[in-house]
Order: sequence, then C-alpha cells, then structure tokens
Amino acid sequence: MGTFRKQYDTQAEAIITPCVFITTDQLRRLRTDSAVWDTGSTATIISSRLAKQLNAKAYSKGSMSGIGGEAEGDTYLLHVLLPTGDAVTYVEVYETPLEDYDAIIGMDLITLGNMHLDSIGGKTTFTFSLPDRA
Amino acid sequence: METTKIKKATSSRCRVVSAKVKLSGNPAKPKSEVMSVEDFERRLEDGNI
Repeated sequence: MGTFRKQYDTQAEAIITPCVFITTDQLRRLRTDSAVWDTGSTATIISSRLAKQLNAKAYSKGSMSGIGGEAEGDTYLLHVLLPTGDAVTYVEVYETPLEDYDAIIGMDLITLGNMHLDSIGGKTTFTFSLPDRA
Repeated sequence: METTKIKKATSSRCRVVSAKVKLSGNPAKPKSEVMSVEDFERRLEDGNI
C-alpha cells in the first residue's frame, strides 16, 4: 500500500489533499484538490456542490452534530481514491453544504492508516500511509 | 476638544471543523475494502466491484 507526503513551506493551517470520489452505481468520478483531513469528524463528508456534480443517488439518511448545530441530510455510497494510490470501496459519506472545502476526510478513513504530522522549523509535513494487508 | 482615537480591531477568520456523524447503520451495506488503485481498476473492469 502507498504513502502520501505533502510538505508545506510554512506552518499549515489545514491539511488539504486531492481525492477522487466515484459513485458506486454509475461509476461517475470526480477529483477534487480540496479534501481536508479532519480528526474532528467521525465520518467522511462531501459538499452538496460535489454531490450535485457527481449526480450521486442518495443511499440513505444520516445526521450530523457539530459546531454549526444539528442537521439531517442524505448519505451516499461512494468509492474513494486516496492520494496514497489506494482505493476504499463502498464508503458511506454524509452530504452537507461546505463553504471552504469539497470534502472532509474523517476518522472512518483516517483510522485505516498511519497519519503523521511534523512541524520541524515551522514547516508542516503531512504523511499518510496504509499498511500492507495480507 | 478631546478626540478619542479608536484602533480598528483586526481579526482573522477561524475555521473550525468538527462533526459527529451518524450514518444509516444499514447492515446490508456492502463491506468496505482497501486495495491499490490498480487492483480497484482491474476489479472494476472485471465487474467484481
């Protein structure tokens, strides 16, 4: 399994990487360069804009509670291609309007691998790798 | 006449992302698997996903 490393010239405000989302029914795919890695999110979330562009069919209903209060919304079943060069199939993601990002990579995906954050000399380096699976 | 100068406060926008998400919990949901993109594309072509 692969390793992804991103080095920032300064102290990073957020870890933002590319990511590809693929619908499980029509296999429509969309790449975004604006997926933020967030250990504060229990699940992976896509923006309403991304869901619309994917023309994804809702899978079920979910709910979210966080800084902005509580809300209910649609969930989608998607394949996710991570920047490590790995794919995670059939990930149920939650949709909500997001202003700043196209997607939030949540703990459901983060805990599949090893995440490392270095801040040597005021420069942030983000590393994520997935262990080999027998 | 006394003039009071008010210093304009500068602020930076703080973005906070925190979300506790409850999903469907559907037991019939297909199981998630992790694989290389190459394996994924091959299995997709073979109709195994």
